[in-house]
Amino acid sequence: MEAKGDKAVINRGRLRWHASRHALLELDILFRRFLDEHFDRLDDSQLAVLEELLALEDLDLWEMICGRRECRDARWNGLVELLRAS
Amino acid sequence: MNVTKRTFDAVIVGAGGAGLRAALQLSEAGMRTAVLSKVFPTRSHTVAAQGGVAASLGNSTEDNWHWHMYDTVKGSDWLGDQDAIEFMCRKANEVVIELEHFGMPFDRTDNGKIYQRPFGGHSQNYGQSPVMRSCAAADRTGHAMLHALYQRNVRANTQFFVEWMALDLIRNSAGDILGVTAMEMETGEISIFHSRATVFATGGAGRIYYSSTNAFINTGDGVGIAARAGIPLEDMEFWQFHPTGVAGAGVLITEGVRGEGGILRNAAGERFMERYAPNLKDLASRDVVSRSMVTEINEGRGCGPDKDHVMLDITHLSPETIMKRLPGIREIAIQFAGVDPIKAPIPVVPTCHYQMGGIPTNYKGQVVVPKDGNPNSPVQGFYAAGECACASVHGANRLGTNSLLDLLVFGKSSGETVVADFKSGSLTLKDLPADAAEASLARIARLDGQKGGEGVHDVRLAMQRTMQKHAGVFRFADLLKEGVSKMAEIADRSKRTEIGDKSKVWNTARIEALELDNLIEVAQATIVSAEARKESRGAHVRDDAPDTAQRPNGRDDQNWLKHTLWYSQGNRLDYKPVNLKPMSPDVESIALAKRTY
Ligand SMILES: Cc1cc2nc3c(=O)[nH]c(=O)nc-3n(C[C@H](O)[C@H](O)[C@H](O)COP(=O)(O)OP(=O)(O)OC[C@H]3O[C@@H](n4cnc5c(N)ncnc54)[C@H](O)[C@@H]3O)c2cc1C
Repeated sequence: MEAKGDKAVINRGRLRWHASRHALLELDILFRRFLDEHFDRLDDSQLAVLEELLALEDLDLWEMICGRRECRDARWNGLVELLRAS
Repeated sequence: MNVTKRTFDAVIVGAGGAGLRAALQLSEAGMRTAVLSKVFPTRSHTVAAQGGVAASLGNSTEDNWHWHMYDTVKGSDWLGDQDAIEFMCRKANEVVIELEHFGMPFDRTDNGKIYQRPFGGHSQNYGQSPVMRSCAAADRTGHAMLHALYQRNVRANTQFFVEWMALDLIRNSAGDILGVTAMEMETGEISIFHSRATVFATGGAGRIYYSSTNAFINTGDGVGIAARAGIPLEDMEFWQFHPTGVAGAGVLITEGVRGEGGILRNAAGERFMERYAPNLKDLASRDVVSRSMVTEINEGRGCGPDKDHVMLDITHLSPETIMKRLPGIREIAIQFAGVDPIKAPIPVVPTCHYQMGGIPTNYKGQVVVPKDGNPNSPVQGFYAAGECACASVHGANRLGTNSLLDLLVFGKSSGETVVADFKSGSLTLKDLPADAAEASLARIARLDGQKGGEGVHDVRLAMQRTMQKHAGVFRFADLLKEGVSKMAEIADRSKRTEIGDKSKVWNTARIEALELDNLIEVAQATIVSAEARKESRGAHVRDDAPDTAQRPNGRDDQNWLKHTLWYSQGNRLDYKPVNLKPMSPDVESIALAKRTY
C-alpha cells in the first residue's frame, strides 16, 4: 500500500515538472494557472489524460487549446477545455 | 551525500539546436558523448523559433556571404568580432544544406530549391535593397530543425540524460574544466560527469526581465554556472527587446501584424509612430519602435490604469484578413490579453527577447578568457555555443534569423574543435579534485537547511521588476545606478532563499531555487555592465548618450569600441578589444560607420 502511495507521489511530481516547462511561453503561462488552480484536485484518470497531453508536441497541444486542431481523443476534451479556461 | 561518478569523452549541457548540433559532431566521430537536458530535447526553446534561418543561398534573389557579413557587422553596431562574423556567414550555406540532407522539410521554390523570404536588416549589395535570405519550414522552423537533429543524434548513439540539471562546473587549480555536477530530477541525486571536454549550450536567460517572450526554462543556467566558476561574461548589457509582447504576459505578437497594417496607439488614440518615424511609421526597426513606445509611456501617454502599455490596433482590418493572414494572433490576444482583436486593440509593451552577450568564445567554440596578457586565451576543456555563448557575432544587436544560424554554425564548429583536440591527444582526462562536488552539495545543503528565509518567487519577482525598470529598453544614468544597488540587495536576498518542500524526488521548488541562483548572476552582470557603458550602441540606448554630429546615434567608438567582461567574483568589470579584422587576409574589414537604415 505504502509503495503504491509513493509511486503516486512520484508520478505527480514528474507530471508537475513536465507541465511547468514547455518550449512555448504560451503553454507555460496556461499551465502555471492550471497547476495552481486544478492540479491538486485531479484524479487518477485525469492524471492519465494529462500525461497523454504532455506527450504531444508543444505546437500541436497549443493548436488544440486554441481550437485550431481537433483533439485526437475525445477523452482529452475536458482537460483541454480546462487549460483553455485557465 | 553519495555522489556517483560517470565518465565520458565529452559532456554537452543543453539539447536545443546548438547542443544537438555539437553532439552530432562528437558522436559521429565516435566519441562517448553525454547530453544533459532539463527537458526532453524536442521541448527545448529552439522550438519557438518560427521566422527562419539566414543563409545567402541566393535561391530567391541574388545574394552572397559578403553582403550577409556586412549586414551582420552593421546590425551588431560594429561590436561583433569580424573574424567570427565572416566565419558564420561563409559557413551558412553549408550548415543549412546539411540540415536539408538530415531531413529538414524546408519550404520549396517551384523548381525544388529552398524557398527564401525577406527579413528585417538583411540586404542586397551592402544595404541597398531587401534580400530574401531566410529559410523556413512553414511556421515551424525551430521545431523541424530540432527534430531533424534529434533523429540524427539517436542514430549516432548520443547518450541523453533527460531531466538532468547541471549545477556547477568542475575546475582544477590550473583552471581547466573537468566536467560538471548535475542533479537527476527523478531522484534528486547528485552526480559528477567527468569528461575530457565540456560543451555548454544552455540557451538564453530572458527570464531575468519581468516582460519576456522567453519560456520559463530560459534561466541562463550555463551562463550563471560559468560566472560562478570564475569565467567572465561578455557584453551582458546587450539585450534585444521585441516591441510587441502582450502586456503582462510577454507572449510575442509577430512583426507580421504591423506588416499587415497594425497601428500602435497611445492613450489618446494617437498613432504616435508618425511623430518618431514619419516615413516608416509603425514599420520602423525594432529598436526605434520600442524606444518610441517607452517614451510615450514615460511621458504619461501610456494606456490602462497604470499607463504602462500602448495599444496595437488591428480593428480596422477585416476579420477575414485577421483570420487568414494572421493566424494564431487572435487566439493569443483572447487568451493572454482578454481581448478579441477584431473588436478591440491589443495591449503591448517592448519585451525582452534575445541575449546578445554570454560566455566568451572564439569562432571555434572554445571558451576564451584574459590570461597572461592574451585577452582570448582558451580555457582547457571548455566550449560553448548558441544563445548562452558570445562568439561574438551579434555584438550590440542581433539580426532576426541569425540566431538559428549561430546555433548551427557554432554548434558544429565547437564540435569540430572538440573532435580535433580529441584526435590530437591534447584532450586528456584530468584528475578530479577531491572536492569536485563540494560547491553543489553546499548549495543544496544551504537551501535545505535555510530557516526564516526568502521565498524564491518573491526574490525572482523583485529581480524581474528591477531589471525591467532599471535596465530596460531605454536607459537612464540615475535609474541604472539605483538599479545596481537594488540588484546587489536582491542578490544578497537570493543567498537566503527557502523552500517549503524538502523532498528529493521531482522537487520543482528546489529546481526553481537553483535556477534563481543562475538568473541572479545574469541580472547582476547585465545591470553592472549597462551602468558602466557610457554610450549608446545597438540595443543599449542611454538617455545621456543621444545622437549628435560627433557621436552618431550616441555611439562613442573612441572610448567604447570594446567588449565588456563582467566577473562575478568581486562584481567587477574588465574590457577587451573588438576584433575588426576578418578571418581571411583577403577579406576587407567593414569600416566603422553610422548605423542607419
Ligand atoms: C519566441 C521566439 C522566437 C524566435 N524566433 C527566431 C527565429 O525565427 N530565428 C532565429 O534565428 N532565432 C529566433 N529566436 C531565437 C532562437 O530561437 C534562440 O536564440 C535559440 O533557439 C537558442 O537555442 P540554443 O540551442 O542556444 O538554446 P535552447 O534551444 O534554449 O536550448 C537550451 C537547452 O539547454 C538545456 N539546459 C538549460 N539549462 C540546463 C541545465 N542547467 N542542465 C541541463 N540542461 C540545461 C535545456 O533543457 C535545453 O535543452 C526566437 C526566440 C524566441 C523567444
